[in-house]
Amino acid sequence: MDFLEFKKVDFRYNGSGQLFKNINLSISKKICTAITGSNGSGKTTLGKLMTGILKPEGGSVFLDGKDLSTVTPGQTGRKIGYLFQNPDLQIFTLSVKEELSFTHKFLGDLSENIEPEVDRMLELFHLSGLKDQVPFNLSRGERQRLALASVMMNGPDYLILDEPTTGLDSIRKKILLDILRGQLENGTGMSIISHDHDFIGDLSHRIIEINDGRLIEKDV
Amino acid sequence: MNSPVKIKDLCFRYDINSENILNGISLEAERGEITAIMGPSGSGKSTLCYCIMGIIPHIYGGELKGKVHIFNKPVSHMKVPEIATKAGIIFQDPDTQLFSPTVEDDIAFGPENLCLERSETGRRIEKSLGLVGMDEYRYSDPGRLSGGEKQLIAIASVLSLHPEVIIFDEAMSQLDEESRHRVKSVIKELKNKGKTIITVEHENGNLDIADRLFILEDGDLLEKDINNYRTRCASV
Repeated sequence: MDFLEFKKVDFRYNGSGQLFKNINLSISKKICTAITGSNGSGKTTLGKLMTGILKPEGGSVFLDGKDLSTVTPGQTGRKIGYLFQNPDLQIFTLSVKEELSFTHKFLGDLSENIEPEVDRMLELFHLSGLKDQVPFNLSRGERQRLALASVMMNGPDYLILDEPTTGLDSIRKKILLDILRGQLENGTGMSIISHDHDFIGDLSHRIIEINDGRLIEKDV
Repeated sequence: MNSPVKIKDLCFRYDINSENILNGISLEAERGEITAIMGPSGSGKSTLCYCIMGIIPHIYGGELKGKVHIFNKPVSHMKVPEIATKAGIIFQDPDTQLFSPTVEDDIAFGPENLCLERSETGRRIEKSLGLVGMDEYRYSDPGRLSGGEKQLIAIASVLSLHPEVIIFDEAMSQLDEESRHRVKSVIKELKNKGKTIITVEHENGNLDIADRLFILEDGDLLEKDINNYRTRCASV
């Protein structure tokens, strides 16, 4: 069984039409899989089904061989780092450095290694000069980089990044590309939900387009 | 010439103890012209938009020096409703401007607050949704839409107010190719009607519709030759 498996999954939002009907999907852990499709096609919904944020109406989603309906969000969070489309949905502390160290401290890790790792992530994502700032005073692009850094900080086995290049300028986009390439070389796979065809074209081993509820394999 | 948007020697900082994010910048945006502003994230592009819209200083505080005029009036002396009849902004994050239970209510909010006739409000809802290709979502819950669909509704909400100055703050960042093409066509149509358009961009591919380009970096705003930045220009 692959790292992520959808088996006969149906999904619809309450009061809306059927978004997915009987879909099957296998996603390998070590590669970069791009999810594309037009606005409203269900890309974000698919990403949320992958992590158990949304529950399928029918069928099952398996993460690392376990049915997500039997796994707690905390257990999923140890395996998957999820970047929301809107970084404001995942930023909540009162300083940039606190945001980066939150998960480690929450899990009781008080080791001396946290601070150097926070500094490394701040430098990697060009946030060093902002480490004492209140996150909500940052620009959209800076908040996006902070959310990405927080996801990476936890060292997940797998990344699901929903529109990671939104708000990034071309230099920061190139830096993100290099960071994600490094993650892939180190064995951390990822699914990237994006409209940015240049970005996913440079990174992806597999491209899946969602069209009218169907998953279509595209040439890389 | 009386430029609809005139900025002269604008300096701004959010905190009196911090450095200026805008450091003596000047800009004139004309009727029937699309002015693009690019720059690294955090360089102050959205802050500049807030200054033009009067969100700074009316909503957000900080230290502001210099002049920001819309149609020859200083925005700092104008009331927010007066600014709203002349200028509209589509924010980077559409979630910040959609708050009603249905798309129709969201678009009607502005025209209703301008005390327009119900029939006129209805016409504007229909027209603006048609322009962005979202007619079928009129009775949908905006909270249930995708990021790109929300951006289209936010654009429709601003268009329904018929502003003379329209600011797009990375308003196409979550749009697919088809929607991006449609929005660019709408922007060109607005330009042809003599509207003043300011668009904040990260994507060189969106510069094909712009007439002038400014780069905001380290607090300075410098005009650049737009032809050097245009790439992958899709014909609109």
